[in-house]
Amino acid sequence: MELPLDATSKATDEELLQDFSNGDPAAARALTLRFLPRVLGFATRMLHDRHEAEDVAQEAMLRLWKMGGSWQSGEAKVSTWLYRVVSNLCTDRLRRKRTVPIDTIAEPEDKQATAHAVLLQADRAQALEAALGALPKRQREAIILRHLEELSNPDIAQIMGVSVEAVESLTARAKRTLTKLLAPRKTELGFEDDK
Amino acid sequence: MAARDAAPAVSTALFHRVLDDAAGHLDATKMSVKTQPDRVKPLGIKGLFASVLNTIGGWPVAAGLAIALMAGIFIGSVKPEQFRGFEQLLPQYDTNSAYLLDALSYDDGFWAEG
Repeated sequence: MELPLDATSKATDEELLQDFSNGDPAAARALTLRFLPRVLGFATRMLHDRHEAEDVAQEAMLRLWKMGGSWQSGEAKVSTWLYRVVSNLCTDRLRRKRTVPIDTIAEPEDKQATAHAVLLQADRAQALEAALGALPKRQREAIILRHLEELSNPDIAQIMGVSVEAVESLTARAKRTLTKLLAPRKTELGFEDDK
Repeated sequence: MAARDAAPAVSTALFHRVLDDAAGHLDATKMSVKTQPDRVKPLGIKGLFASVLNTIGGWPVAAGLAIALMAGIFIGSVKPEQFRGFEQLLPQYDTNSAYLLDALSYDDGFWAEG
């Protein structure tokens, strides 16, 4: 399903949440359009399991509905709070399963002949997802929030409950690990062709 | 960039599940508001007076209480010597009986058993 852009509301996240707690179902729709894709994307990258990610995303949004009436304006951003909930839910789920090493991840399936660039993009995305899965959980979380969810370091610090310096250290270490993991597949993924 | 572009699309089913949760929460919130007792309206002076009157038993009782109150104020404010002779007006008044009652109230041993 392709969701329309959230152009229905110019209201802030807090205003929408207030409207929802006052009983406005349109505010629920606007908040869902605004946050669900981001929440699902983050959870999917953390868990590498679409079904679990959907459960986490639904649970996180449910907690947002329950929080609505008692939201304290000015203390934190709604988005930051929501990411933190997703982070905690993913941590709970990850504790119940082992991290899958990159070597055991299946090779990309054979695809029908399409444009070379599209195939290459898909392969790179899959390789990156696999490499992310091999990172320690904290490094993975930091680098996903920084480079894929495009959050600022202060926001990430708030989500993860650490200092900004710790976030910078985690993302730097994650980048070094990813480079080490992806370097052997440099030619296969066409990174040399990009020069 | 490749990984960012490859973010998973939200399925219609998930979208509707999330909205159903929101609707369910709104319904539950409305139900909890309805089960709360209606706010009691202020009575106002007239309403308060009527409420007190009903509590004590209506106008006849209120009138009796008012008379008793007036009598008590009168008795408390008037000197005892002004009551002399008053007892003659009371029916079946027996001075001896009155004295006995007084004597009994001062004799702590009278009511003791044995």
